[in-house]
Amino acid sequence: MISFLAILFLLGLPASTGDTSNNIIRISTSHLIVHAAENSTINLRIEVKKGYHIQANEVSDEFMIPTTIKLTADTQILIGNQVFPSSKKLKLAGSNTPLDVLDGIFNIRIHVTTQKNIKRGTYQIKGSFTYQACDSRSCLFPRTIEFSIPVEII
Amino acid sequence: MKTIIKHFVNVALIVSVSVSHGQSGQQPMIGQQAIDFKLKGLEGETYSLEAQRGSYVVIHFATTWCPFCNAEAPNLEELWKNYYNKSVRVFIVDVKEEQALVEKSFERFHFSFPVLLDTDGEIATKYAPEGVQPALARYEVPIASNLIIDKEGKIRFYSLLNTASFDAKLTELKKKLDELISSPRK
Repeated sequence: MISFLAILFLLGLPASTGDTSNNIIRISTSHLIVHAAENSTINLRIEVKKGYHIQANEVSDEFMIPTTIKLTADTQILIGNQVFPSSKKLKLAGSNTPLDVLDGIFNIRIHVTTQKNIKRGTYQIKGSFTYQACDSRSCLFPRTIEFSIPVEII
Repeated sequence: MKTIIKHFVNVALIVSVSVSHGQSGQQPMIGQQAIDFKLKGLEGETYSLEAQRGSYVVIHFATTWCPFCNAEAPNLEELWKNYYNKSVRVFIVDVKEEQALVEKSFERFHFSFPVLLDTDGEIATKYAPEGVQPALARYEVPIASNLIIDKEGKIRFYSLLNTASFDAKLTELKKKLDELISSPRK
């Protein structure tokens, strides 16, 4: 039993439920509990694997692949603004234009509003997170990771 | 249980050694015959590597969104202008992108050498050194790398991306090219 758990640990499986991750990005969010006709904010916690950076949501070079989030939800849940953290500037040797990047752990805030007629129960906001990552040895093709955010109307 | 853990550790060590081999200072695939390809350029002409025999060939694997590729781009054009009369040919091999996007993106660099389209990533896959970056798709491995192929078709220089020593100005590549041109039998 102990050896089985050791193998699981070494395989690097997610430590908790409610997380979505691939090799590079881990997305976590807590369960949103809200009333009808209420404004609320969802915090998406993004963890970029150590050593990697991803292009920011706003990039100065039109050919860079910006990080984007697409969200869909029940019609009674209105998705509002997405607020990204400020990006970092990454200067490449031999280039005059620094890159706008994100790395480490950061939060993205998403504003939501529930309609007044929404019924009690649990809903899911479906999301996709698209990014393009590089580390010191590679630049990866753009990838998309799907996730969902449970919303409980009480 | 001790046997299982010992076996697991041995496997992990073998994987770790094979991954690090390609990422050390030693360049991969040196001395190997470069794999031939026939790829279409942006202007519609087809180019084969074999048809370049008798010339030195510089190849850069790129995508439009690769920031390191874009940093290097002006220096590739300068290289071509300075070396075209020394039996040197320069190609960019763009990996897994549509022609329209590549044309639009690379317009700003005014390349006067061919940009070839490896639209299915098959050639990039073939140039991915064995055991290097096994977690990546094979066609991702050569992105932002530079190769020199000699007049007989052998790989003489192959630098994979390494941001710790990112050589946007192609200093090391030019050094090797000069060495090959001045001492062709080396």
